[in-house]
Amino acid sequence: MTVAVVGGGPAGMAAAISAKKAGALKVVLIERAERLGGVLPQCIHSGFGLSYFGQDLTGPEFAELLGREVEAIGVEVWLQSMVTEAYPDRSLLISRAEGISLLKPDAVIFAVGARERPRGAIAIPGSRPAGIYTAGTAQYMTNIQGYEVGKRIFILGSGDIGLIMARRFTLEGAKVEAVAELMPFPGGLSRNVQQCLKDFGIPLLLSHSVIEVMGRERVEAVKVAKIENGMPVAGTEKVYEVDTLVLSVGLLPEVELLRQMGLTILPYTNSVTVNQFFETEIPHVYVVGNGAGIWDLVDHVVVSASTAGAASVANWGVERSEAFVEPCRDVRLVIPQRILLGADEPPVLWFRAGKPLSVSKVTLLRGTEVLASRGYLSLRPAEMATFPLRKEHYEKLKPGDRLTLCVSEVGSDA
Amino acid sequence: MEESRGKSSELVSLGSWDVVVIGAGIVGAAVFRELTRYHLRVLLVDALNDVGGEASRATSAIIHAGFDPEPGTLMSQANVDGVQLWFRWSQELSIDLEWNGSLVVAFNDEEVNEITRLLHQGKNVGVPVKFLGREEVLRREPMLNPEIRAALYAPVSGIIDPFQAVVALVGNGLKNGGHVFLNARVKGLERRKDGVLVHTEKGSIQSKVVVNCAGVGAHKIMEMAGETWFTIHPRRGQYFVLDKQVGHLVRHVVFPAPTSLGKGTLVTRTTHGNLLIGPTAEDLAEPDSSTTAEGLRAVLEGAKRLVPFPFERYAITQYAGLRAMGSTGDFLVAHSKAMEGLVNVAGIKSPGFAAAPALARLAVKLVGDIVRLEERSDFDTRFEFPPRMTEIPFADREGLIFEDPKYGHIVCRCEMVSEGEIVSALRMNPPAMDLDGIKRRIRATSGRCQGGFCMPRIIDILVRELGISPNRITKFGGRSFVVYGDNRGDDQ
Ligand SMILES: Cc1cc2nc3c(=O)[nH]c(=O)nc-3n(C[C@H](O)[C@H](O)[C@H](O)COP(=O)(O)OP(=O)(O)OC[C@H]3O[C@@H](n4cnc5c(N)ncnc54)[C@H](O)[C@@H]3O)c2cc1C
Ligand SMILES: Cc1cc2nc3c(=O)[nH]c(=O)nc-3n(C[C@H](O)[C@H](O)[C@H](O)COP(=O)(O)OP(=O)(O)OC[C@H]3O[C@@H](n4cnc5c(N)ncnc54)[C@H](O)[C@@H]3O)c2cc1C
Repeated sequence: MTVAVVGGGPAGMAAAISAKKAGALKVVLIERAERLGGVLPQCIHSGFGLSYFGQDLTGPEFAELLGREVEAIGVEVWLQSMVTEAYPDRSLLISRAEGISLLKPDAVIFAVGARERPRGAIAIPGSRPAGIYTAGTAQYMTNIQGYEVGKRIFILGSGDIGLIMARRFTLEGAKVEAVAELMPFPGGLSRNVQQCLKDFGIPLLLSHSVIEVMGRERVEAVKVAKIENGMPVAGTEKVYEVDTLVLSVGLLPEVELLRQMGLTILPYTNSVTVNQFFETEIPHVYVVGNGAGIWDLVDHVVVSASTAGAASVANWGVERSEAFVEPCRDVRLVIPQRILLGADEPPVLWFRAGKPLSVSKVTLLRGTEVLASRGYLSLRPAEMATFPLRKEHYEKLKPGDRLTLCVSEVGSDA
Repeated sequence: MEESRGKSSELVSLGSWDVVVIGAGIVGAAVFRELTRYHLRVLLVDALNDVGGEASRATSAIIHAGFDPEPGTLMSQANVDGVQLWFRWSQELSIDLEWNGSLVVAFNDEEVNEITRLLHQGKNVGVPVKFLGREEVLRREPMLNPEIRAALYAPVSGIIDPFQAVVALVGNGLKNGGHVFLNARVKGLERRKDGVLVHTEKGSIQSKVVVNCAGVGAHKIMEMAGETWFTIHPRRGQYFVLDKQVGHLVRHVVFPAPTSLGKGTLVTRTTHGNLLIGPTAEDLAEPDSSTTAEGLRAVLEGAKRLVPFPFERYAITQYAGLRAMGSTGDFLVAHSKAMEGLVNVAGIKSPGFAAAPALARLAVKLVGDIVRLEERSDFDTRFEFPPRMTEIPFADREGLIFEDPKYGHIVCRCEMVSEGEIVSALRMNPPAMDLDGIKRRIRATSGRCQGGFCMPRIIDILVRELGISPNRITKFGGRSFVVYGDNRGDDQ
């Protein structure tokens, strides 16, 4: 059988390796860029691989290790090859320098990653000069292309990429005036807030946002204000004279190909529903990594993608009976949303809290009936947490069950 | 002095011309193209780095049916005639124009009266219009606010690709021997014995006739000629562009009933397949095409009254454009009252796009009062854009890739633009010179990620193709530099 993996980032590489390991005769890894690795080659900081490889690696090193495995195990890699269309029967149309190819594999794994929300998605008013970049784009320009993106920089959004770039710009000799965050808590991992902002004395303005961009040709300044109930608070406006505005205001899974296949998009993951093997509602079509919902660490991406790779080979002909899971209250998202019943191993539910929580109890409910619950010392929106289902709980699930995953704070961890 | 025929260049001869057209918006572009039908030396001058960089790119781009302007005005006549001409021009010049029809909807008695008035007005000027009851309107447009009462339907109205339109007209003029001079803001006019001396930032140009198509700056050109009776103020319109996912929310162009401030906030699809909502109507003292929080809120409110829908969730970008509001309320196409040899085409607010072909014909007539118009036998009416991969048959795509593998390399993933197409935009005439020029010609960077993915890669292509260093690449000319330099360079 042939498995096609679309996207050669960490998710795609991991899925391809595990599909091959699980016995797929032919695995084709299709990547539109000139190299494998996805966003990793541009993430030249360390902090990758702590749990998966057990060592602290940079992005390029992590990509390199996976890439070697891809090669060693005999995955067929197509570079500069973009899947432009996908059909419900799993056929893929691929544009390459060699021409246009049509591939119809026995299973497809989409590992297409995410794109960044641009300025227009959050409708920042003002002029439209040069000098406004999303953080990942600025990172690519800085680290891959070697361009000096700006000299005086304001960063909106405290997602990890924004934090990492605050430090990167500073090391490159630019002045980062401040980072503003709309929410009352940082969007990125705590370690990044410390190592990228605090250690460099860069101010973090919580509950603040950019309310106007100024400048005719290149950005000349941004106006920033405190935000309450979605509106700027009068009298709190401050103008920062900068030549660059960098936005780190969220990632959205790339779902165009999935949409083309006729799958529907969930509002809270901004992707399609998957089961614990990351299979979509179309049999033998999988979606993994940031394409399935935004993950925090590449290690988690790789672990989850490996599940799909193995399943794409082993799961042949499984009869589908499923239960369904939805997030509730302060759980912002849960992956998977469908639980295939009768698998050998009980599933792991991945979830994210909607706000920072101290000691908390997470429960899996069927209506009002508590099926399972676990305690957590703390939960942060920036981090993906796991809720492993025990075998006895898994076996209690019945086809068609509608479950919710809820969290309640128990007390403070002072 | 450069004499090669049909060049868009920085290096045109500053020498002597028959006609200089000031302003490369849709009006100036149309005038330019129409003038190249004749044995004339024609030069199109603009202040910016590219053609079509002002109002003509920040418009609703509706070819209005023509029932709206007051009968008897130039605006009414030019609109009605313009629609007819666009039928032919869009085909000759391969400009995307879809005749999807428009609906002006009414919510109450007053508005029903208003659309009834427009119905009669439309019939008077010979524009096909029809009154539709609530059921029929909702059948055609199920997403509309169910509280509507009725609508005025105008089948012969459409949406146009405004960027293509300007580029195609200029390109056709270039093909027919006209010249283009960019980055040359006009600073002054001087009457000379045998014509007008046009002073630009880049030197002075002598011409027998000057046609002023300077949009929101046309009164400034008039002032340079000593003509102050006509003034222009900007009326800003702000917009949201929404993801293609919701492009098919409506089929027609949907307007509210008009008010004294204009045609109101509309909801339409664009020829690119996006949804467009806007504009506002804000009178300004000085030109300022920034968007504002209040303006954008007003756009959402206005659009939601027509179609209750969470538009903001699908936003990909916002922009604002300036309408040139002339002091007479009508379009002005006339010989200057102060300077012989100057023809003014001024106060071209909406429906200026729809009217542009007709305005151009009128302006050419006036030019003919001054210089002899002798038709060329070899005038080529046609213009074609370089091939778009997404718009050609499969076999042709394969053929292009076979000839040039760059066509197989997709650079802009949102709009599916290949490297080959980007290179073609840089090599066509008039060529793209900056990121916005590429965007307007082939849409790369205009999709849902707004260039997040392809912009850095396009910088590399520009560096390679134009042979300039990265810190010279601009978004739209001038000092709109994209990066400051190369941090691997030796400047440390
Ligand atoms: C700035 C930044 C800092 C980060 N820091 C850390 C960190 O310190 N530690 C950590 O663990 N994680 C970190 N991460 C997260 C980690 O990089 C991501 O979780 C991971 O890269 C996601 O992997 P992916 O394979 O899903 O997506 P991607 O890496 O985005 O890969 C997707 C791939 O698919 C390709 N593709 C997409 N569409 C197509 C198509 N149609 N045809 C062909 N190919 C296609 C793309 O070109 C790309 O190569 C960071 C991420 C960023 C952006
Ligand atoms: C918000 C909005 C919505 C609209 N909606 C519609 C619609 O739906 N349908 C419709 O038919 N019309 C519409 N219009 C009107 C239409 O867009 C305009 O009438 C038309 O684009 C005007 O074209 P123009 O060539 O006169 O001006 P512009 O496109 O503004 O071109 C003028 C050019 O002159 C140049 N210039 C100015 N001063 C100088 C100088 N001193 N030296 C050299 N060059 C100079 C500028 O750089 C510019 O390129 C709308 C307009 C706006 C602003």
